[in-house]
Amino acid sequence: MKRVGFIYILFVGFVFAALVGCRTQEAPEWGWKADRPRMTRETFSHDVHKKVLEKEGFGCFICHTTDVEIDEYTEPEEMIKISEQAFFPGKDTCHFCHYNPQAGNIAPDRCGICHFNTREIQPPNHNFDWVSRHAVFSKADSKSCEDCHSPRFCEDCHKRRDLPTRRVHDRNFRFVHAIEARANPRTCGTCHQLSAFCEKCHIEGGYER
Amino acid sequence: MRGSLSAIIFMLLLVFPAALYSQDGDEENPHKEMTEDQFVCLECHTKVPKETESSPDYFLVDLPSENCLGCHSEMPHPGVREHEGKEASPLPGDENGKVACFSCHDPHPVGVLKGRVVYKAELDERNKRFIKFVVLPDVEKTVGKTVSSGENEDVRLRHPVSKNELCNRCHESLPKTNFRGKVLWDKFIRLYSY
Repeated sequence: MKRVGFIYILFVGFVFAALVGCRTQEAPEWGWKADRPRMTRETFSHDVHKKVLEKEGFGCFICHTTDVEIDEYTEPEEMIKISEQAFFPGKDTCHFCHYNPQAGNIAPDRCGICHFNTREIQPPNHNFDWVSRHAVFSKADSKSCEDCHSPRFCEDCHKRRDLPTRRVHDRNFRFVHAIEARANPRTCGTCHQLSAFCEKCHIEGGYER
Repeated sequence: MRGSLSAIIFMLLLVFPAALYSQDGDEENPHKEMTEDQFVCLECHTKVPKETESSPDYFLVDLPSENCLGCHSEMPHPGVREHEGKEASPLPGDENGKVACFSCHDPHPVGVLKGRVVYKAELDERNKRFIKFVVLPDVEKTVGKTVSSGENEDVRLRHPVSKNELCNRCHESLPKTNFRGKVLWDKFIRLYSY
């Protein structure tokens, strides 16, 4: 009886996972899916912002600026452009609180709050092999990383000591990786380019055996 | 000697007649003149109404929605276009009850209408600095040209801008976005970008 119950729970779990977990944007015609907003204003809450800004002593005009002079001889299209850009907050105005690598963020800073498709803001070089290649780029121009990431993001992998695991391999993996590598060498090849990555230590690094 | 000096001044005024007017064009600003000269009222009104008199068209020469356009541009500052066609109540509206220039600005300076108070667009230093150092550079970057701001505070507002009093007249209840229903999405796509 217990076994039937277990199978039943397993079956329900599987169905739920299939409906929720396997949903992709390309196949929106079946199952349940989180209602993905298309524009920031769909999720933007004036109520929340007003409360916080009033507490900080800021008024409506810091986001909806009207105090910009529009020359009457400006072309109508340009007039509209200036008006819209000033009256509705731009990227830098939002980022001042939500994403400010220099001064620090004073508001929720998850990119997904406004950028519903984070791939749109992801640099093109951040592809599948980026984890193994990022060192070169970060050493060449560490400032470019800080355009999007705070230093904490790097330290979370490189300097973290409070957890026994890391994001990819367990700690100490360097000493036990031979077991997994010999059992199934192809698993290494999922992320690493075998001819280059393994040989870097095993041949060039003097660890030839 | 005195005669030659007078002649020089006369010649200068003949060549540069604009020197007869003050530099900021105050001579041509009916909003400032109406406290001294009642006939200035007739530049905008068909008659000078008595205190008890009222009319949906405010006794204006043109339609209320068009009256200001005789002198002012259609889009003198941001936000004008965005408020077009919106209900003006409880502020005064145009012939259709929609937002007009005079919904926020009072054309009359202090002293013309009994008991009427008008306010400058005065922001405190904190707000001013935020606009100057964050918002304006953002606008300039997007439109690709320099914009000027904060040069004219004396815009005769019906309510003060501090504590959002002017905006709150209409926007006291802000649109409630169902952000909590949609924010769930954020949990699925959380990017490690802290």
